[in-house]
Amino acid sequence: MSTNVFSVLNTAKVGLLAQQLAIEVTGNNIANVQTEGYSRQEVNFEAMNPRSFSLGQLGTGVRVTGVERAHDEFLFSQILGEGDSLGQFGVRKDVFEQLEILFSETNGQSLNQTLGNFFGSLQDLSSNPSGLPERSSVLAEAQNLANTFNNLGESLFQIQRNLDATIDVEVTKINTLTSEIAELNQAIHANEPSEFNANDLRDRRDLKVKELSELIDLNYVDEMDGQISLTLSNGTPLVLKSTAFSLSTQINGDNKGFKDILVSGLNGNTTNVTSLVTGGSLKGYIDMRDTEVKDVKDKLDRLAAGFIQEFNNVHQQGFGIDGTTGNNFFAPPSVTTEINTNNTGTATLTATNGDPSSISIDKYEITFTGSNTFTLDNLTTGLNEGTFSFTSGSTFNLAGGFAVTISSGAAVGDRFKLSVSEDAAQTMSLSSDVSSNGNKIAAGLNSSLDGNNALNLVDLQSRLSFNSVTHVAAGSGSFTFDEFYNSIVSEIGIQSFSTQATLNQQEGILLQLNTRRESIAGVSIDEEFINMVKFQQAYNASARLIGVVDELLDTVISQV
Amino acid sequence: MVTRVTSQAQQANSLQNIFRITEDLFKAQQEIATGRRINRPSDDPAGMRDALLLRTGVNQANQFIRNIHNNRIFIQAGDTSLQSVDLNLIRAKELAVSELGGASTAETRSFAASELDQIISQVFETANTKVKNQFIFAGTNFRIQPFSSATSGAIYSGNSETFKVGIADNQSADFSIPGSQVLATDLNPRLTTSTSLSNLNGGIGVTAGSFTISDRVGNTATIAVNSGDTMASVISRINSASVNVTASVNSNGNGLQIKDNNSVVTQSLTISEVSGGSTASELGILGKRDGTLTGSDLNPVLTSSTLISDLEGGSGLTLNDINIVNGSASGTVTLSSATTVGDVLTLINNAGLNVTASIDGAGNSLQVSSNSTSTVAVVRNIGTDETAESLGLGGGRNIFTTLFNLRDAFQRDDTSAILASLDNLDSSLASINNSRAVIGASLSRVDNSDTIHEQDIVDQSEQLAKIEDADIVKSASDLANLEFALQATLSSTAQILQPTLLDFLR
Repeated sequence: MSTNVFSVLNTAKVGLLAQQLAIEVTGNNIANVQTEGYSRQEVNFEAMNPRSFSLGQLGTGVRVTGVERAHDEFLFSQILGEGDSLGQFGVRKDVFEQLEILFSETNGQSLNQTLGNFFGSLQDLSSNPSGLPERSSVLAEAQNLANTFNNLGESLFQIQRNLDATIDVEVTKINTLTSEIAELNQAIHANEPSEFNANDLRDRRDLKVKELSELIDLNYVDEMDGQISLTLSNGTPLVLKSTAFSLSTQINGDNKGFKDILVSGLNGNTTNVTSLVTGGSLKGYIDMRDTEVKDVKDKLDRLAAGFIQEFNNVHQQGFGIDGTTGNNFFAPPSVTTEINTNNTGTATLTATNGDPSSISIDKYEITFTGSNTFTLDNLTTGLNEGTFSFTSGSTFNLAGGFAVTISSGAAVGDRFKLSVSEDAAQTMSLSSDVSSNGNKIAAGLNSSLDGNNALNLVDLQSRLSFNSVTHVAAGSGSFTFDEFYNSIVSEIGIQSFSTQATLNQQEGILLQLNTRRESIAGVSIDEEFINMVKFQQAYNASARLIGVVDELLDTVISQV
Repeated sequence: MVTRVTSQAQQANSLQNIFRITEDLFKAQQEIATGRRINRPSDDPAGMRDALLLRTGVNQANQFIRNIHNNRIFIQAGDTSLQSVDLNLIRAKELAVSELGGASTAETRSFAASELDQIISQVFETANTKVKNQFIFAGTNFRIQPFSSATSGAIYSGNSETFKVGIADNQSADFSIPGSQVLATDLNPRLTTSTSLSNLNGGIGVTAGSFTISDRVGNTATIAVNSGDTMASVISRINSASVNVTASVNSNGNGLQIKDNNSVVTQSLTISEVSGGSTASELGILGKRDGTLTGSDLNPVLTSSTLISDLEGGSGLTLNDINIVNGSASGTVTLSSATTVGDVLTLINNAGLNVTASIDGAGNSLQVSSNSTSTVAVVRNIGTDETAESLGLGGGRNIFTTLFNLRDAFQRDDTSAILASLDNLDSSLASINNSRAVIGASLSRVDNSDTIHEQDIVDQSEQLAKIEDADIVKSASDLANLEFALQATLSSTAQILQPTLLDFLR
């Protein structure tokens, strides 16, 4: 039997040090109780290797095997997964709220009311066709209507432009985060040579990844050496270990000069990922700009262009007080042509509004199938309108009234877009004939005197001029102007409502997940305090052991 | 294992709850403050759509009521005027009956003639009644006095169109009847290729000059027009010009029509005047069109070559017999063989009744006068046939002819004419009463519409209120509940967030 009193002293010493370390960790936990993304750390104790003696083994005290952070990898990946929907729907909610304010009948641009007032003024004109006040009132209400369309169209375009500008900001944010993550990757790698974890660095990296997950959709890959890699859901890398691939923006000529998103690759090339982003606030901004707000604007443009056409067609049939006929009431919309930026041929296309009375207000795209043939797609309805051949340089009619001239040099696959409804709401205005001379308002049908054409104009209010998508000729649709407009408003309402519901749900889920995370990784002051008392007691006890050994030694020495 | 509840989790949870409740509170307050349940489309998308539709419906109904109220006076004034004409005709009939009595002499008849002059000027005044500064019996020619007096009778200068006002969706009602339907006749001949330009525009004709036609691919031609041209020569000149258009008389038979024949179109068909002229305007084709240009009503006057089948805007007339009394001469003239207005005139003139038939000064209707200064020619319908009335010769709606004949008969002391006029007075009275019935029906239809719209507004407004108005009681109780919930959350949060073990270990 051999024991060593000094060995007891050593046991007490390592106990003291271990408890002291534990108190330090507890202190650090308490200090970080409000630090976002901080994970509570725990000290792992282990009994030291025992020494053997004749009766077996005897413990030699305690040692600290590591300081570990409380972290649930599965929960973390769940939080990341929900983050991108939260970011996306947060943006959608904000933009839909802007749209709702714009289309609110109480404090926004009340098109419904303006349209009603305009038709009301025409009713007054029909009952007194030669009255100057009635004519002035029609002009004023028409101007008001045009202004309302202009403001709505302009505001929608403004929202699109703001979204476009925000995309730049988001890209900068994403770049900052990815490069921070790459740096942290490097730092973690450098600080984890042994089996010890760089807990605080990992916490910081987790926080950055979480922030990034709300901006863009992410796939998260744990590398073997403590580093992580991040890719888009389709696999395009954003961070590969310590390398970050930055995003950039580039103006897209085929999309009204709005910006596309590019990501740089290893070899320095860039890839266009605009359509590959599937989540996060970036997706929210792209979607709202290129789909939701664009759809609303397109619908409003079609309403404006359809209204102008129907109204002018009836107005042209009548006679003004000055005896003239065929005057346009609203300026007919002009043709917007767009050349595809990827065209390889040299052909140029010019188009005018050859027949404003029957031209289709849909958006069209010409795709060349040969040097003198092309196929025509209706982008609004999604239908193919057939294949056409042409003689270069000579004018021909297309889709009800486009007067199109194409020069030679078209290459197969080249594309052009044509539309009269593009920006029709923004540019709607009274024709110069009528606006400068109210006597040209055609109230009379057979002569300049009666009010029968004004009555025909009033009847337009109940004419079924639209189907659910676009304007149809000759009143064969199923919606009136009012109803088509109302469908735009209620569509926004429904979208906004469902977005809010999804967002609420998403926030709820994230709150739950965060609560779970907090319950695992969060710092509880009560717990830390209990730990502190615990470690303090243990420290005291170890200290007491030293005292006891001291007394033992005293006893022995005084006996000598 | 107990779930660890950390202070961060508690804080996040409390914040979320407080925000949720304050947001609901804000909404409830907004509902109460605006009085509306739907403040944004997403508050109730379907409700919003219905509310918009209802609001449009209410606005429309209000507008129709406004139309009716603002213009109902036209119908009322029409009725009042015809009532006055009715009274005047009755007085004229009384005079006629009493002047046929044994005690009447040439002298009393001359007094009666003076009274009839008064009656005639009263009827003129009535026929030229204005409401809101518009002549109510002028058709849609509101600004021009419709009836004027000429030696041979009354001249009608209005048109044959009715003044229509919208009273419901896609429905309009006649708010005035043109004078040509109640007080005079307008034979309204159709425009034909043989019509000469001088007979257009109520006889004013067309000023010689030129106009320019640009077809839909941009070809331009200048067409010269002489005042002696016929429609046929103008049409052939347009058709042979270097523009790809076809001119013809329009399907209504009242104006020109110019059709573009180009298969490829790049612009509007445009017709413009040359150097400040007025030719195109007078031909009713000044302007432009994306398609076929239909000109305005050129209002050609009657000529002796006008076909009977071209009268009444092209629907034509069926002519039978008429009866003419001229002093002692009296007879029936059969007009069924006539194909032109000239034929009718010749048949009457050759009937041996010593009368001259002619076209009246406005080119609207026919008239017959005696060749003798001591007799008056009176033309009557035979039985229920309306040939005389429809040609504007006498009886029925030709109130002025009836009265003028009677006055002349008094003046000329022509008792057979006075006797013959009695028939015409009766048929005129019947015609006025018919017209008053038509106006009465119009008035009741309009009033009916008015009532329907008023009820409609009440119903739709009620529906609108149900959809978009806030239930204040409910909102207020919601508000109270939410306030209570907020208080409770705040105080429980205060309790939860404060204590830690630290507070107890001292």
